[in-house]
Amino acid sequence: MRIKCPLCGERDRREFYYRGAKDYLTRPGESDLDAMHKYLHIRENPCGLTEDLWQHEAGCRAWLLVQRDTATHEIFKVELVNNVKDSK
Amino acid sequence: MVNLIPKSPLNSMEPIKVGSIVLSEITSANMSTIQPFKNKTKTVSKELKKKFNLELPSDGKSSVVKGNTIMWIGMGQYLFVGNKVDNISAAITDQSDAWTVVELVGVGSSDVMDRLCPVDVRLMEPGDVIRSLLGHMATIVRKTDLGFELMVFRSFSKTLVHEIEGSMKSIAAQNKLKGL
Repeated sequence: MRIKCPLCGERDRREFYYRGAKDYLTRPGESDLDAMHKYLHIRENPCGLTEDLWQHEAGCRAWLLVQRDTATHEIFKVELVNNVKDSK
Repeated sequence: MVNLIPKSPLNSMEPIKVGSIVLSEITSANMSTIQPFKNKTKTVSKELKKKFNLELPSDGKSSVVKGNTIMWIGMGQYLFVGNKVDNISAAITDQSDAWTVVELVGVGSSDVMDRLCPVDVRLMEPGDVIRSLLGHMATIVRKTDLGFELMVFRSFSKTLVHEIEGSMKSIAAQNKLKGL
């Protein structure tokens, strides 16, 4: 599997660290226990299109939002989390 | 006061020569990372232009002006080698003595890199910088006119030499078997 980092270009998977689902970008308030429980533990685990966070750990160290297919390993889109956050 | 002798990460090791490939340590002066404050990248570039006549390079590039080198080393991060830098719109961290720097030159140096680095270094032009792996170590690779400049954390210095020397010897042995 190869991921195309927006800064470094296409790189081998071993340069990346896997964090988890995109949900980690939207942390709820600490007082909302149900939302916090969902944020921490409840995942869809789809067979197919998924969006998750990777870090180019051994490269430019940017956090990336990767859209990929868990069944075929095809990667559709890679964005800098910085840009995703800023556009909100 | 006692005048202490500075010790480089590889203690100024003798260059290692295997066939046409040479690995040697580069001991450099001051090094600092420059991380421009938010939305200040252009300002920092102008400030550096004024002070040292060089600008922040684009992603994956480096430039050398009058003995000062500046290279991109990651998202929003640059490494300045040469003079001391201060009073610019960026966070500056002194990195002198923090890195082991070696130079790998000669015909076949790309073959040595092929064994250790998952990136195709043959696509790099002189001045290009990548961050990748060398064996299991995070490394900065800069292409020079004659070969490669490699940087890893100071504590990895012996592992770096061990990995590269092994690869150099292996390449030489294979060439010998092929009668090259």
